[in-house]
Amino acid sequence: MRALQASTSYSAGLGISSVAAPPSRPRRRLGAVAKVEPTEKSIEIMRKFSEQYARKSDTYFCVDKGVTSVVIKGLAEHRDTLGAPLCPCRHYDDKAAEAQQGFWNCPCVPMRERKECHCMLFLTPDNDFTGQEQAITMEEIRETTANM
Amino acid sequence: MTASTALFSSILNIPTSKISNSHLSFNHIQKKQSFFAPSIPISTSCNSTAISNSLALDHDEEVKRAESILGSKVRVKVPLKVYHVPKVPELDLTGRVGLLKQYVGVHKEKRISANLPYKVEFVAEEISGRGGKPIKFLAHLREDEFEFLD
Repeated sequence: MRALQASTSYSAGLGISSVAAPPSRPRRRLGAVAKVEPTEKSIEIMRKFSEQYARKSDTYFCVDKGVTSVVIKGLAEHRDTLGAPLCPCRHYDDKAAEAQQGFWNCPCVPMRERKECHCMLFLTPDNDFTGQEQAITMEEIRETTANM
Repeated sequence: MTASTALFSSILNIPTSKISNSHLSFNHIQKKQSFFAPSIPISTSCNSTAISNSLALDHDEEVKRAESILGSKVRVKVPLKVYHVPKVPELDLTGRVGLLKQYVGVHKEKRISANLPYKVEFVAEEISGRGGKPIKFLAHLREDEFEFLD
């Protein structure tokens, strides 16, 4: 879903409209907020961080790498927009204030202190959905989030 | 002007008009108060604002309560393990006593959605840090995970 929105927003920005309808209609249909794709650099940084932190905390990625990829992309997007990788799996009233305060900055306090990651990015070995890997490649991220 | 008011006015040397007026007004005020006594929000038609108002009130109350209990001794009453203490990979906090240091549910007057808002400081006596002194560390707790030691 996100990629669809992103591609449409890019095409609207470049003036190439594959949609015959006037520009205002597709934007309204997609909602007030246009989701922007995170930069390659941010995704790479968060990918490296996730690998390193999984090793450090003795946690593993999910069996379904799509879950891991979506979370990494969400972290990258927050890093781009807010300056800090705020947990992408939560709802906030004031994102800027939360990023400043830091409770939910990845690795969040529940993860740091209790190894509880509700995003299912870092899973303890006793979890039902834990995989065997502590690594994920850029290619895997691209592949598993291509159809969104 | 009733007989009783005339009697009172003669005894107390108060003009009758004043007594009767105040008597009447007092009754009137009493009736008004009983009418407004139930604590139903006035805007019952707009449920969402009522709910959000009550939530905001709850949060403000929580903040005030948290600020009033800072510095008190607390004990962890649920099974809890932490993994962030230096030199200790896994530490069981159940039953430990600590000092409530901070409430992190508010930051610069903005509401923060932290679900473990109470920062408690513990001293790990059995582990010695540099120079043989026991290590101090902080842990974030929920309101229902600790009890007060008074």
